Amino acid sequence: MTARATVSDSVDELQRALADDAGFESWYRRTLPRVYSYLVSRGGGDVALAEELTQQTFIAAIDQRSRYDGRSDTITWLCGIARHKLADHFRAIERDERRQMRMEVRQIEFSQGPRADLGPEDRTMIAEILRSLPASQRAVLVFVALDDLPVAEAARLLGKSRGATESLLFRAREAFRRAYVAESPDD
Amino acid sequence: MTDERIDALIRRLDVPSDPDPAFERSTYAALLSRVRAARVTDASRIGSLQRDIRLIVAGARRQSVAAPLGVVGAVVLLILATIVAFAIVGAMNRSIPNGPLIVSVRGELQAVDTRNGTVRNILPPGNDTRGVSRSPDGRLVAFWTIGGGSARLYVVGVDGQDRRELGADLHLGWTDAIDTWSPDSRSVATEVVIGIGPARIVVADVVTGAARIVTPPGLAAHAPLWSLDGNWIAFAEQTGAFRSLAIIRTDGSGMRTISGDLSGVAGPDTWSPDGQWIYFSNNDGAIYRANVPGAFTQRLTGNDLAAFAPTSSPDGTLISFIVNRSDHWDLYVANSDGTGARQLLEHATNAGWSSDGRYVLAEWTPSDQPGGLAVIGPDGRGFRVVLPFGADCSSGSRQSCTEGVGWGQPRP
Repeated sequence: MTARATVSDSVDELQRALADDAGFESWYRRTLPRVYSYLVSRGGGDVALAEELTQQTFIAAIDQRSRYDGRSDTITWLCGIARHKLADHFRAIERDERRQMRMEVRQIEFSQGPRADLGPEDRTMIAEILRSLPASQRAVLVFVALDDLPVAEAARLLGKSRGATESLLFRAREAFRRAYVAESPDD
Repeated sequence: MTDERIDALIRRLDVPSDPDPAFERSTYAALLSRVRAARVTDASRIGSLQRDIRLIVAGARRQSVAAPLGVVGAVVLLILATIVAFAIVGAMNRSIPNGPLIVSVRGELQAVDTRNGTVRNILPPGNDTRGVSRSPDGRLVAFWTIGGGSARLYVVGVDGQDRRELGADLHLGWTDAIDTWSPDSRSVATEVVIGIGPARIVVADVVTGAARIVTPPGLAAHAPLWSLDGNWIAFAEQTGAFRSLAIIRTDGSGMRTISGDLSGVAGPDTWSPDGQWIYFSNNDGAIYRANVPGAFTQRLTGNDLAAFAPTSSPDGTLISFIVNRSDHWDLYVANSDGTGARQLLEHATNAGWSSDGRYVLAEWTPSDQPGGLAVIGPDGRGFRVVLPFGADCSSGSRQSCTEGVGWGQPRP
């Protein structure tokens, strides 16, 4: 199959999906779990957040359908949109955190302690640790570790310079390491 | 612990998760109206051209990875794409891709291919079907039968298969109102009487056949109309002689009046695509729209036209409606704010818009010939009879020979 044929087939796939209700339903049922899974894992297991961002992703996909150029399959394209929605979310949370940091420093110090009932490699614990990190650190870990993006691409998504993002990634890994060791000292 | 170990731990989060079925359903319903609106836009000349240019540009960009194409080549491709796009648009103008038009003619349930006028029977003769409506996805037909002193509501595939009764345990009584489908084509809302009580709105699941009453007991509720996001049903609520416009969630909660102190509301006729407005007429022959979040109304037609039965075009820019001429109706079209009203077709009533927004469906009954179900573009072009009426329809004793028309469209 030629590159041109692949591009054309992919564009056709989206056109078929939007051409009638039956095509849309079939495409939606196939792609929804993939987009949702992508967002649940990267949102620290937060179901409400994943549902909200999943909806936003599909709405953006329909509104921006003319931008789809067929160079990837539609699921990859949808996950790309979802990644931008996640980045927007992390940026918004980061702004809120900055505002609240000044007011709630005492409450943060008295936050709940480590959970001893979780095994060292439990996904729930990893998600909890990830969720406990500041939004900017969580975001850079999600994009670099989970999505395997280059630092420069993560920097673009987060609206930061490359140097600032590298520094952020360093701090994020340090914070994750500290929290993980505290939760599972034997590891 | 190394950076690689940390990244590996985080990657363990990347596992499949199943979305909650309720979330899946509600999101689907919410997206469906957007997809339909997108479809209308893409069917336009500009939308089609944009799509084809995008495809060519993407192809040229991809090609350049293997072998640089150059600007001249890209321009040539663009010109070719434009020619192809206009050819495609020309071909589209010759067809009406809106699914089968379902009609009941003398009680016989039929599917009409509006592109070539071919007609096929959906059910064997003798079913005496009425009150026909078609699901938005084009797969199912809802209809009523009256016989043996009772009315029954059925749904059947457009291929005549898988017929089942809806709401059998409620002993529904038909009120001659037009049924309305949920946007996901999974439920039908209908106005019924149950026993000796007032008219109620009932929602029936077309898969299980189970039906439930939505409106409160004791309240007379008429003419249901499903919202495009699938969450609300608009209807006319009647308290004594006062008849106003209300909305209610499909689970029966959140009911509120949205037509202010205006009375004489005939019933909701269409929601605007953005869900902000509901178009309707009142008994005095004026067309209004009610703002859903603001609960206020705007009058759209003046005293010079006795106007009724408005429907919004799928893209929300136009409305079609009918004007009373004493001995017949004329079909009109206007901008969605009521300005620019103009006559579209004489001796015709309004049966709603095609899904792609390119045609208004009309029951055309001229005085000198039988007429028929016809389509006409909102600019007055493309008039075509898609189902001729029989000769007995010209006698003047009936406005039409159909017992119901369903094209998946809201209709007044």
